[in-house]
Amino acid sequence: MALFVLVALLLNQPIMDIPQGMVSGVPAIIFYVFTVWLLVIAAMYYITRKHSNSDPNK
Amino acid sequence: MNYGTLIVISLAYLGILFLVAYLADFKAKEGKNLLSNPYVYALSLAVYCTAWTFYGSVGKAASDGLDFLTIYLGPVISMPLWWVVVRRIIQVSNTLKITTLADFIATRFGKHLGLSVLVTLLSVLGVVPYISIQLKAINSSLTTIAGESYFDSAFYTTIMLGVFILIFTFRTVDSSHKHAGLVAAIALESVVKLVAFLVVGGFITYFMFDGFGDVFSKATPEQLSKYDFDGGMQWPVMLFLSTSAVLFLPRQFHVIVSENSNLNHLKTAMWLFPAYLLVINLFVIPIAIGGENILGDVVNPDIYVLAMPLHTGHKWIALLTYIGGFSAATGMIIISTIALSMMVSNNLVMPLIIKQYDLNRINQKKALFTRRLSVVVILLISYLYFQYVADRFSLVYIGLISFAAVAQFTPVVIASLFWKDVSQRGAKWSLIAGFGIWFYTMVLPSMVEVGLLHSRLLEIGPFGLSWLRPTAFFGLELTNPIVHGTFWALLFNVFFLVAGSLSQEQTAKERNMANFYTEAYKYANDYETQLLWKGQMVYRDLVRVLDNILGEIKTRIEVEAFQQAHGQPMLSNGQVNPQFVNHAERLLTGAVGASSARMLITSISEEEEIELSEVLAILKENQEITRLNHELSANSKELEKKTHALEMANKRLMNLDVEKDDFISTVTHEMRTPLTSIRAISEILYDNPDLTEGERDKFLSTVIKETERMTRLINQVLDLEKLESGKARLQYEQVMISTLIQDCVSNFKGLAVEKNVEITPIYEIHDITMKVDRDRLSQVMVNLLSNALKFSVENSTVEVGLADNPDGGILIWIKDHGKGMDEESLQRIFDKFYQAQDQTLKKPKGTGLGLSITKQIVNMHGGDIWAVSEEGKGTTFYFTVPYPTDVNTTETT
Repeated sequence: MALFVLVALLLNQPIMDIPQGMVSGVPAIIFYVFTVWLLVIAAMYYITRKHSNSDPNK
Repeated sequence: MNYGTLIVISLAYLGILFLVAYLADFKAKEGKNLLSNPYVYALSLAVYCTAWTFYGSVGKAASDGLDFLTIYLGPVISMPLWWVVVRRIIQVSNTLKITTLADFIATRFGKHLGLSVLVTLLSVLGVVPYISIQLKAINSSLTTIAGESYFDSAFYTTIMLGVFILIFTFRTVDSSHKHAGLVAAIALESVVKLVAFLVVGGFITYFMFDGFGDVFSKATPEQLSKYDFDGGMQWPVMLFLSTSAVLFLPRQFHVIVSENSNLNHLKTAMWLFPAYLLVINLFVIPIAIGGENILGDVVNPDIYVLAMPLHTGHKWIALLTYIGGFSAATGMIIISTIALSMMVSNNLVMPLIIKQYDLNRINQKKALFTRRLSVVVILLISYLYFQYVADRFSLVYIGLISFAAVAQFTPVVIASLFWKDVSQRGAKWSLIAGFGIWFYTMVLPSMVEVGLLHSRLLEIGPFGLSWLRPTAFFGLELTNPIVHGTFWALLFNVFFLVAGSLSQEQTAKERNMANFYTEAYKYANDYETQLLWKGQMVYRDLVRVLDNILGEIKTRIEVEAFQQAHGQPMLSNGQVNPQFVNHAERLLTGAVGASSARMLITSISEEEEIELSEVLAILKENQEITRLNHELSANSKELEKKTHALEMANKRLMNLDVEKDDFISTVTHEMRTPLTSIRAISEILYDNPDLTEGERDKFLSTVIKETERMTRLINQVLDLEKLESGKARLQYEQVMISTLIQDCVSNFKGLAVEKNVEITPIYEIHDITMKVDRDRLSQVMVNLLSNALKFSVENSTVEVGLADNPDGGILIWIKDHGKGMDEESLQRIFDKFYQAQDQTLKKPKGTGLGLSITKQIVNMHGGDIWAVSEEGKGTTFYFTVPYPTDVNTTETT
């Protein structure tokens, strides 16, 4: 739940208003969105692996 | 490239899909089910990425910039919640053999036929246009590569896909049966479209341009400004729509829920699916910017993906792109058609057949026929929609209207999982209101646009009521009709869900099911006893219905399985065991859907109303069981703790036993050495009476020394035992520490002179008196000084120091300049008999207990002792004595 709230905040206003200009020739906002996206994947991988042996029915 | 070649390639591609599906089914029969692979399951979820993703994303990026990402970011944001929401949906569906969203919603509210019909109609209404845009995408891509033709490619594609579906699904009436072949084919399609998009994206970005930086550097400021985040309502609304769509679009519900064979596969999907979405979107923006720069307005941005390689003459890349798009479209069409046809046959056609025909005439064949017929009808409607309507709208617009339609299911589904009090009336009102407003605010304006309705409807509103204008409902004018429509539809949807639920009490049956949905994990293995059924039903009637629908063999297997788990399905009076009714209804749900199953059951029984008190009794019983389980679990944990403590105690005892044995063995050994010596000397004295006086004296002196050594050893063993067992008590008295040290040093003066060693006191503090046990502390000093002198080399010094301990109390050290010790000896120097055990020493110079006793005494004073040594340079022993807890017992003079 906490991760959902965090990602929802990161990918909405007002935080999304912050990235401006260019980063390595790419608009900062695009760079930012894809970075957060990548972090979500990493977090999901970590969390699901951590609980990979737990009983899904519980 | 001509049409003929493309058609052959398309057919070949479908042929490969057929082959993969066939092989996967074949392997499944051999016990090597691909569905047991979590990666196949996760990849099948990517059926979410349709031709809209493949072609439309670039078009949307070219026109609206960053907004296209919301379609993928919604699922990414909601992914952490899947373990709570989706897991529960799968648990409920697997337990009750639910395979469609219509059944999922209807079952929660007493298997209400009206509700399942409503959900089915709304799904068809929302998704058929979506299927038709896939046909449109296939058609457009063919035209782009091969040019205009009279050949109706969409029609033949529709037929081919229909054949595929009819061959690889619905071979058995049990729709809860997993389709290994189908899922394998969809997973393969996901890989194909991803590879194709990456190849064309990489080609455009790295061959037509010089990488990402180059693409962006060639973009005009106007183009770049499209990718600025402009906020507003559109962004969160679109995120919400895609969050709902990824779960409740019929095809998504089908792959996520119906084809899930293991809940743990969801864990893999939760990271792999967002990763897939990220990768497939990597090149969308470069293609959009590149396309605008090179092709401009001449080409529809939806086709940039295909037109770019064609522009540079790279036909093979264009062909691969075509296959990717074809794959994306066909995957979506196949799964959506299957999901919709199950809904249509189970909720629209079967109920009519059940009402129309005698029960004996309803059989497997009819059930399968209705499902196959539904496939044909849905594909036909989609084709007709494509031919006459879809061409007038963009891919994205139709896609978004479908998303908005499906979003109307979200409040009901979420409420059914987490709100026990939501009622059938609330669900019905919610869906009618939500879809009514959706139709009014989104579909009507599109009908005006294509000329089916008069434009005055949008300009002045119906009957001249401007506040009822579909695009400015209640006077709210928003630039984006999707945002406007979604806002109002959801507002009405949620309002009526709450109002309807509060205005009607649940029936006992609803309450029963509410408990089941909200606490699904508790009932996964025991649903028969948790669902109530009351009434009269002849066992033979039920078996006849089961035989007809499921087949005699399947029925026999299920009856035997029930018998083993729960006892006889038939009561002594020929009536059905109520638990078996639940079991049978569940089996029928898997075959003909929840509402039709309900109709079949009621048609052969006289059901009685369940009392709320009976449901509450079950609930109470469950609560009691849960409480007992918790208690049992707590007790077992407590027991586990105690067992662990006992194990530890036992281990300690065993260690002590070993230590004791070691100790006895060492003491015995230590005693035997002097005894052997004494006995040998005594024998010499006895056998040789003529020894000289001098010789006799020498022998007797040795005997005396050895007996002294034995006495010392025995004393020390006794002393150590006394200290370790806690029998020894310290006799505290005020002692001037420097005086005590001086007295001890004086005792060793003789020995020091003998060894030519100088003892040097270094007092950093002088006049300190504190309460200590004088004799015991003297014993410590004597032991350490004796050691220091023993190991000192000749002509060296032994330093004895006294200082303030920064942590409180005093610090005393004794430093010799002997050989020093290695690291291992330092670690073990305070062990009992260490010195005696150390075979590297030439000859033991003591009992090996002195330092153990010293440590005990220091510890009893509350202090600490340690040694620092450097080989070849000497050893320093430090020990601290803190002030006694009562500070008044110390005084400084």
